[in-house]
Amino acid sequence: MRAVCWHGKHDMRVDTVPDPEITNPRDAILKVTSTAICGSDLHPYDGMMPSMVAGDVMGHEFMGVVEEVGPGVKGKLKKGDRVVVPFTIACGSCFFCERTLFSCCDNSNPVANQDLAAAAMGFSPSGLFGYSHMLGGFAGGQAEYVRVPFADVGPIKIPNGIDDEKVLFLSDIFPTGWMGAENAQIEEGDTVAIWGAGPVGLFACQSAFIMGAAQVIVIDHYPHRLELAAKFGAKTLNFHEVKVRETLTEMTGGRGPDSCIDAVGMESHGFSPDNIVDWVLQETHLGTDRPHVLREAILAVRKGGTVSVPGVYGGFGDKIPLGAFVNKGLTLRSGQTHVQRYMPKLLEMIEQGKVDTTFLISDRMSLEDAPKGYKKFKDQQNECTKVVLKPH
Amino acid sequence: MPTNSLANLGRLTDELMPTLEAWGKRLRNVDQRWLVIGGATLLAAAVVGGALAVRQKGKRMSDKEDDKVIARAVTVNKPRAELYRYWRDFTNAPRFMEMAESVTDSGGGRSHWILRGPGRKKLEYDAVITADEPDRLIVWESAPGADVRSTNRIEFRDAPGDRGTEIHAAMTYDPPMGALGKVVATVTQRSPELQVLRDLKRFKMLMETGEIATTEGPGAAPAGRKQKSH
Repeated sequence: MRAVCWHGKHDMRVDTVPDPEITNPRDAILKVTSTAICGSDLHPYDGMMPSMVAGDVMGHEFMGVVEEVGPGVKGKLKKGDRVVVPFTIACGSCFFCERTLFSCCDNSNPVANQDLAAAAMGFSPSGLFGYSHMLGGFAGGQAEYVRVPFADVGPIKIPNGIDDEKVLFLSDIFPTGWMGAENAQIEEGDTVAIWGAGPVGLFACQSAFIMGAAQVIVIDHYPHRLELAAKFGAKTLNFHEVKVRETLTEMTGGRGPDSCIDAVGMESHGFSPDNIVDWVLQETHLGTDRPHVLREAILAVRKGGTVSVPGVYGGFGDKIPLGAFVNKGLTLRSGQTHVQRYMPKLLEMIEQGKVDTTFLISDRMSLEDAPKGYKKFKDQQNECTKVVLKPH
Repeated sequence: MPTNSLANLGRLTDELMPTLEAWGKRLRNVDQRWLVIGGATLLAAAVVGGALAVRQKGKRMSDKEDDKVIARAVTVNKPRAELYRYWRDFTNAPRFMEMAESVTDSGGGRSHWILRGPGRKKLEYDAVITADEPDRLIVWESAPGADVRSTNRIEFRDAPGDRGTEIHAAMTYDPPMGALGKVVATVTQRSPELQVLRDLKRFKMLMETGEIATTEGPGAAPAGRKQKSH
């Protein structure tokens, strides 16, 4: 089959690779009908994600039609079912899955790969599709077919009559934005500041309003992305034009936002001294992440407030304002999305028209054009907000 | 717990080195520098730490100075009795112990083990159960005269709250060929320290989900690797 494969920094290629096969009883094989490039795919694209190996198949946002099921999936899924698959793989029966902490699943990352993750993080999280060997080395879904482990737990069935594009983002970015807002512990009347008007930030923005925020302020530097946020009723700040922290303080009557959401993660922009030092550290591989946004969020949030971090970090960040964290009495909440926890509720919201998911897609292309898609998504972030690939 | 901090470092090195070395060979791009710096630091520590013996505080599992004791634990979301029953039937061992190729029950507490050894050698030996408390404890060791000297102790304890069962495994391992064998074992990534925890985790996966997560093989995880020509 054809698949998008990582071959190094800024080197995505479409290769012919073996077809996936049922390997474990609870596997299913999916024929992929739609798949997207994620903002977090840009971290491996930029050579920032450790433990990638040349030839790895990319892609963790995908949906399609069930082609084959293993004997352990009986009853839950059958050939021909149309499903969206969560980007995190969860067994459903460990301590963490039972508590709906699906992205912390004990049993989905193969044990040899767990050694690597545990060395970096203490304990291994769940396996992920198409996102490095530390997280399992699973082939991703930017391909014609994909093997889905624990297919009786993850995939959600989609009724006929709903377009792929309406539901594809249930795989990752919509639940991620939702959980990012949920982790911000928003109360009725709150002001929420969101760094990053990418797909996750924009879903977090919609979610924050649904959760009762009275004011949502979105921060970015791409005018078109800020326009999209404004369409949802957000106020917008361009960090090239204003001093973010001072403006946030003014806009909240001198208090600071009640909650701050970092929907940017490890490759933040910004021309501040701390970010330049981070850049140097990152290029010389002595530090790995650039947490400029996280620092700013901790300093900007009101006393006793909450900082929610859906933005992806992979390694270590330097000089986090711990003094502010402690003395302002903050709450910091994060996590890879527990997608399985949110999918049914969010599907219902899509069916009821309560959330717009299609506004985001700026580019549609065939799988063969994926390398162009990556380059455009990276280099033209103002116009290019989401790239959807069609493998068949 | 070892009382000597350098011994700690030596053990940590022994655990991490195979993983780091194996990944260092396979990775391209930016990660190599990170691994080389980290690996070099740990290698220096290994030279110092590797020379020191490790002892388990309290119970001595072995009389020999050279024997290492490896202790690892895992928590499994299943009742103690169920896990004891499955483990006690040693013919199940190959399902989750990566090095066990086959085990036959010879009766009377004796079993015959065939292991995949370092460098793809096969090791065969007889084992004898020396302690067996149902639902609580199994101790078995290689029979006198065996090529491999090993003692294995598996303890099953109720985990707090509703977490299921804690399994505490301790084993001594006197590798064939002594120190040389150990180096070979480490380089081929079959070091005992890694192996014990990996086997425990595989046991956990099998018990909790009925299968063992894998990405081995082109059918399990297709990739655009260059095919080796024959």
